[in-house]
Amino acid sequence: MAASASDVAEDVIARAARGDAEAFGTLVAAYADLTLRVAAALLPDAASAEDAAQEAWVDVWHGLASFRPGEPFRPWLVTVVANRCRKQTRRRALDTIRLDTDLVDAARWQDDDTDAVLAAFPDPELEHALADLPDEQRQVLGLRFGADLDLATISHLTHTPLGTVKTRLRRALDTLRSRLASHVTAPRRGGSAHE
Amino acid sequence: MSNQPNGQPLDMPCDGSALEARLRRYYDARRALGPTADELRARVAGRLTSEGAHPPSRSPLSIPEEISVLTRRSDTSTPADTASTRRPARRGGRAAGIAAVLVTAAVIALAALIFTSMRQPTAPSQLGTPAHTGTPSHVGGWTGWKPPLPAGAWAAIYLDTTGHLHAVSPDGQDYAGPALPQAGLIDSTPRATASISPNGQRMAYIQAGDPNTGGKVAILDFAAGTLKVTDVTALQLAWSPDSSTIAAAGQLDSGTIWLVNAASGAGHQITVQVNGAPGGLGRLLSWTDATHLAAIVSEGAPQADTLSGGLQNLLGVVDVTTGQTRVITNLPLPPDVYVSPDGAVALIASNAWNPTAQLADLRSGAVTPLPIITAAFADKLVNMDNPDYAQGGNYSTHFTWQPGTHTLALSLTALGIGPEGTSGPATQPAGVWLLNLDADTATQVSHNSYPLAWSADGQTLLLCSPPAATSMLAGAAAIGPNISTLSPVASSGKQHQLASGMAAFLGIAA
Repeated sequence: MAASASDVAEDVIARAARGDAEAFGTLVAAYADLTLRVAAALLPDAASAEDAAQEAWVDVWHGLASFRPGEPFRPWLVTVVANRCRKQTRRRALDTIRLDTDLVDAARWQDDDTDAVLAAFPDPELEHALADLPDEQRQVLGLRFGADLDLATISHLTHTPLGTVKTRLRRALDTLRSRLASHVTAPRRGGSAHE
Repeated sequence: MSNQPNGQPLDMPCDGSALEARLRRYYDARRALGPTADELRARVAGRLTSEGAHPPSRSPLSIPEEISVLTRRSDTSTPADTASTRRPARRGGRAAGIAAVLVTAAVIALAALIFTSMRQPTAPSQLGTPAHTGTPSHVGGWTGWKPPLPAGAWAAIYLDTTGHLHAVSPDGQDYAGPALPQAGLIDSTPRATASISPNGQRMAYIQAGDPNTGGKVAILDFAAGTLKVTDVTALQLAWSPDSSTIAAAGQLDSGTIWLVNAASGAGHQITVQVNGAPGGLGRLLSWTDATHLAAIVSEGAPQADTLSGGLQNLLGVVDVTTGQTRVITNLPLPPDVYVSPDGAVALIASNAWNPTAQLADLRSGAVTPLPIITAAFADKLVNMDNPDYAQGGNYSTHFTWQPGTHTLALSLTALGIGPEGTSGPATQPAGVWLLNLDADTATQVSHNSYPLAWSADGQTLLLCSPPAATSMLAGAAAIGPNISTLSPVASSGKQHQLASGMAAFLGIAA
């Protein structure tokens, strides 16, 4: 009888926990997307997120010994990723500053190769609106819609009461609706289209 | 109908929107710009090789305890149920061959179908509260307590800082009683963790427990001197108008309400039905008649969490015989709602996120703005925007209705948590305002107190003073130590101190 998907996953996890590098590689490939999405939601830039996801997998390799067989792997994994992101944030806190969004916008629009810059962003208007949100609201959006985590999981990952997670999500959505609605008629030129 | 600050109609659905789809597309596209799974695997392999990787068992990693909590969801999740199912085709021909993609897509679709079926919202009745059979117990060692008051007199009941009961009469006589067993969850917020029955003869309170899941409901009978502890676990209480029944709500989002017989302590549970399906319950407000209860609810999967926000908050009237809920209106976030004791009207207060105060007619369902009350509070009430349940929720900590009227005494808190995205506390002048909803008037009667209760004759308002510095915070620390009376209830009324040393106000007994 063919094993179900969850059986296969458990088997792979069990083998990886025993030190089977091939199984571990399978595990990384299977869950890479999730770990990158969670890290991207929790960290301010793509490079940091990729570093954190990579280091989280190193943590997983070392930590699989403490993973109890039969327990769900996914929540364990995303917690490892979140912990790694927190460590990364603490490490970088001293040597980074957050750019003022107007400066970012100005830099974007002063670039000669405007089309290329725009093409690098999937949705520049949304990108800009997201950048204006408080960090905690942007994180919740990324975890919910980027990593597809449920609100209870987000609550635990961020050490935030469930109600607060909901509040942040609702407010972030309200703010985005408002901002994006105002963009509909605003001219998108010269870096001043986001008032 | 009035609008929210962003101009969206109040009844606009807040989920399943085009915006959410756009966000998902955005995050998918951002993800596509990053490394592929194979690339990440190669990087990890290189990283492990560079550090001379050894078998996992040689270097265990400490995993936080919260993992066990997370297992309630996603128990059998597989790689297919991750967000990778939504990832679009990748740039630069990195994807595998067409055949492999098709096979993968079929597997993913099947897994997603299975997973979706597994993620159907849990029925509220299955959310952890056992079926109730009703076997209340009497507290051992409880010596009983009957406040020694002259017949016909009322008494303000409060807890002192050592947890002992007190009854103070209008003339200032303070009678000390025994310690109230397990009074750990009592605070003075509208969610009513302690509440005296409308006839003044019993008090229900929630015993010590988890602040997020609640404690046992206990019923103290002043006349008989008995204390029963039910096996109902709850966070909020609401007495029926005839004092026969206590509605009790449990864990946030549970969607269920307990109805506890005040005399026997036995109870049964109903599930809130919103638009024909099990709904979520955010906050019990108050009974509107013998069989109806105003509450803040949500449709479908429980998502009303009115102590701290929530995704959808509907003002509804629940028929406690069936659980069916008549929805009055969609509430702004965060909801500050106060239902009149006669169940006729409700004030939807203004705050930082809801600039217009409104009057909801619970019988007709009409919602109309209150421009004068709105103007009176236009630059105030900002501190009612408190997003954190653990820090008191979103509502005014202290309020009380004048008996037989639609006039509400509402506190303006002095110190609160600043709005989301800001740091540090927000401050404003404290005070008590009388809001006449029928006339749409607002009158300030005190600048340094909070309202506690109104005497049955409507002539005396009980206040606490001075307001504590942490006035917005839940719990005993939320209020000042003194009880005083204001009579007549006007800005020129005289204030007399009745008691000091109060830790928590419980209500008025008769």
